[in-house]
Amino acid sequence: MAPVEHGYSRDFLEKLKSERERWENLTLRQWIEKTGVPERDVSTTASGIPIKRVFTPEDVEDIDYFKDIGFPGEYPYTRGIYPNMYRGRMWTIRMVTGYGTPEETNKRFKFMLEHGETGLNLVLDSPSIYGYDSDDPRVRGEIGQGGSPISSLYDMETAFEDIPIDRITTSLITYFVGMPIFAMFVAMARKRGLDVSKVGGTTQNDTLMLFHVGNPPLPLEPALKLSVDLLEWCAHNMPRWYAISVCGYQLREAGATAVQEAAFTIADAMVYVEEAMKRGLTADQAAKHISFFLCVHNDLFEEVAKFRAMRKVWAKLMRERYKARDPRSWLFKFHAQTSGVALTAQEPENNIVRTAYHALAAVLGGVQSLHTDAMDEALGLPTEKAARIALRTQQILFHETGVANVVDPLAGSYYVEYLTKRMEEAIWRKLDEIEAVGGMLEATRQQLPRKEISDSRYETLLKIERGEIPVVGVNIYQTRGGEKPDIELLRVTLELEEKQAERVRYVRRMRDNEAVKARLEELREAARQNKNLTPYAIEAAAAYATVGEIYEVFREVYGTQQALAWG
Amino acid sequence: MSMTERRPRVLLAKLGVDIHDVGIRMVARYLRDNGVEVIFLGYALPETIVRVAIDEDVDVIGISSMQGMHHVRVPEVLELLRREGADIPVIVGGIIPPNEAEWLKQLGVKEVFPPGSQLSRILSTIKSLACREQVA
Repeated sequence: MAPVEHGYSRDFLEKLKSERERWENLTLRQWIEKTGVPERDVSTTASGIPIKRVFTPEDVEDIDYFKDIGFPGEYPYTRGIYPNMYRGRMWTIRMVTGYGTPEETNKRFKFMLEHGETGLNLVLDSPSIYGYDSDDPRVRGEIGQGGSPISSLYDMETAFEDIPIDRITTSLITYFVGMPIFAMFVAMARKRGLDVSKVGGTTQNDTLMLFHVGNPPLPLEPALKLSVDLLEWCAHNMPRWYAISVCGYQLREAGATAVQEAAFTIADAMVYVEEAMKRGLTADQAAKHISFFLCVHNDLFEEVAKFRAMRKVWAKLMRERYKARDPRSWLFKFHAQTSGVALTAQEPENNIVRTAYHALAAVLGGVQSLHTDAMDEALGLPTEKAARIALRTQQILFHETGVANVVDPLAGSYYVEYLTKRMEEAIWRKLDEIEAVGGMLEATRQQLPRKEISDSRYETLLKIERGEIPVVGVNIYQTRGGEKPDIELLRVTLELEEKQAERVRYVRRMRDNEAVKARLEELREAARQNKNLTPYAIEAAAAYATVGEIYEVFREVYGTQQALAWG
Repeated sequence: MSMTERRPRVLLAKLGVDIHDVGIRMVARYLRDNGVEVIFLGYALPETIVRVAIDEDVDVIGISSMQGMHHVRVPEVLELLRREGADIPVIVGGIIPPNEAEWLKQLGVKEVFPPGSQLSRILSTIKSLACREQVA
């Protein structure tokens, strides 16, 4: 079994085995007997990979350094996608930003940039995400609550006022409205006189994820078509734009294990590559416009292994399965966000510590850009102070701890290499399972990932309920009488909401309504003719059509999606 | 207590279009697994919540709010219930800052469950509210 020429010699392994047995029978057993402390029974990682107390070269004897690990910046990229990683450029600090109104959001962007943020990350509020305008009575009370309302180009222009979008990259967290929001961003860039081919950024335009965990307003096929339209358009017009950011984050937050997160995300990405290729793009063209968005959760070493294994699996898929020829197409580029679900409403300051560990795992895992959650995540919107601490967490990590001074510092750890290998195998196994039901698109139609993720979450919740998964301050070490958090909280008031609704009414009054009608009609016609809708959406956005109006065209032409399974 | 004790029946809904629905889905599942009849409404506005609650004769209404909309929509639910003369207890779960939880309780919400609440406590609260409801 052991390929001697790749790893350790047979003699060495035999000696190691007998030495290990001696150690177990003597040193270890005597220690346990002497101390009288029974050993904790921890037999797996959080996602179920078997672990034991000590790892040795025996556990990595099947690993071939050159084939499995290699050098950073070279295939299979286990050690990182760039040769010198953070010795060259630090990862991008990209903090989720958006609340209240576009004005408030713009202020917060500037605040974060002034304090050292290096990338932008706009999050929309729920109504915008679902294609409702801020003056729609159906979404009263929800405007600006969990993100910035973006109803039209006017809101986009306000949110990004004075911000050089040609010199800093922007991520747009758009959920269902990737197309109209991207269209507004492009319309804004053009209006500023920028060459859009030089503008860089990302749209979170991942339809499949929204069927695994969300409640999508449009049916699967047309929603997927819109995602791929954007990718296709970017392939011809915006070389620096990641049209689809394939999301594991939401899957994980909804309950997926690390293995499920990794495998489903890669399987989703495969669908996008295949759909793009069906439209005549090459694998290289598709790869250029796809990036990833992952979660960093509690089990630190498993998270590091997850990132390392995903890089390797993706590189292999792009190179061998899809025959991408440009090595840049093999690179698994990812943004990570620290887990929100791991944070607690109880003793919220503890969340600073949790987030710091999550950030550490992301950096040890070779992340390209990172958002760190604010401590008040489980209580409400981040205050300026909480957002600043979250930002500082990354700066402290980079400048003070030394962890970014050496590339992939955990490589060679028997444990981490073992985990990386097991994680990789687990991903391949799940990819095979998905293939066996007819691929991820079919699995999505059958809601299989949705069911699996929901089951995982339920199982975890019951374990927390029974105290089997400890959560400090929640099911262990609770503060008696439930200490009231004394941190300051941010609240979006109805006054702010009314101000935003008025902005939308203002746009409706001031724009050329005939032009809006004409552009929306062209969009509708293009949708009926199954054309790529991106250029039509951009024209509509440029005429100040609202997200609600553009989305209404999609609802009309494509129909709406029935509620998916909740159990 | 009547001889024909029926299973507690609860209506669960998310207010508005907030995407964060995992919590309430998990609560729904737990309640169902523990003998509660669950009507899962998904996203809904106050009018729908109150109409379905009355039509289905539920014992308790459970509402999830993860993005702050409880400050507008929960009072609307309570007001509509009062107007309909329906004495159905309302509980709220999700991201509710402590001061707003107090405020909701003053308005008439029976209990508020912040993140990290024990599922068993949600269950027992619903059972005791349903019980009171049936005796009344």
